[in-house]
Amino acid sequence: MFFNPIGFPIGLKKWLFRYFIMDTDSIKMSDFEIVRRVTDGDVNAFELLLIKYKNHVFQLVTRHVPYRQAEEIAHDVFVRAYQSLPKFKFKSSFKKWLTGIAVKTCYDFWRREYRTRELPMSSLSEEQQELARQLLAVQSESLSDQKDAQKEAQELLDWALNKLSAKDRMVLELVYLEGRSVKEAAELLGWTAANVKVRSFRSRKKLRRLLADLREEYKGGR
Amino acid sequence: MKTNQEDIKKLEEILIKRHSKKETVKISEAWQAKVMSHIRRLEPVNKTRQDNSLIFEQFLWRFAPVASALIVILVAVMLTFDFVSEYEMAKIFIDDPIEFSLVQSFLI
Repeated sequence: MFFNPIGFPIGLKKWLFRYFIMDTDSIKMSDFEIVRRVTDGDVNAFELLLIKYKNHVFQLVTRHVPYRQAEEIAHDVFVRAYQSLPKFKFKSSFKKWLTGIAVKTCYDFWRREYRTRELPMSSLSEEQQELARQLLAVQSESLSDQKDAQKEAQELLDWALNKLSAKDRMVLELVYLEGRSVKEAAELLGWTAANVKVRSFRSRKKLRRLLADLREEYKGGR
Repeated sequence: MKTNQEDIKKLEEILIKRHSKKETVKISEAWQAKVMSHIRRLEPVNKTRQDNSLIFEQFLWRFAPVASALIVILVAVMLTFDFVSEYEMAKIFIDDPIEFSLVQSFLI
């Protein structure tokens, strides 16, 4: 805010306008008002939240679950958000709250998935060895230019993550692959920061061991 | 050994890069309609929060500066009243208000 020579603070007028007039109007479209409308029984108002945050949720979900499952998981995220709306106390932003629900839904997906799947093979398949060989031959900087290498990297990443437990997987993805802080990951998962810290350290170690084994197999097989 | 570590580090870098570049699914209109139709089929969410508390939360910070200004004004007014009440109290104990006002003017 600055003052003009006449003496009336120029910024003050704008500030007052924004504070008492414009902001009051924007409240009509705020998350708070939409949530209030939904909890008042206006189910259709939830579509406003869906439109506003669907891209954010899809972006997050596709990073954590297989591509073909993303739509289903994103669907679950919004249904869970709707059902949990009365519990939302506006202590954080709606976006952050929804992100927490999305992360927990992805975690639940992996828990279910790991429970029902067959035990993973202990030895490395020839295909994975070949993937590692090809990736090691590619310079990481030029990875973005090579579609095949990208696909191989994705396959190798999926293979390595599938070897971890659901908890290790989520922590590794949030802290190590996405670069979120331990505190943030703990908030999103609803765990303690100490738990996340220990688990992220261990899961990273496991991933390195997996990659080391893969490399050894490749070296031995060559 | 060093080469081994370097290779693993390189692989890790590749995997991190790949993870950040994962493609996002294109959202169809049908998906949105499907979610909304599912939600409409559900029971309306219970209104566990009272409307008054919501309104209170909404306007609490909006009126904080106004409340602060009111507090300042009230303090100022109370200080003035304090002076008057002292005067009134003194009037009860001292018979001669003129003499008291004289004393008061010299701040004794």
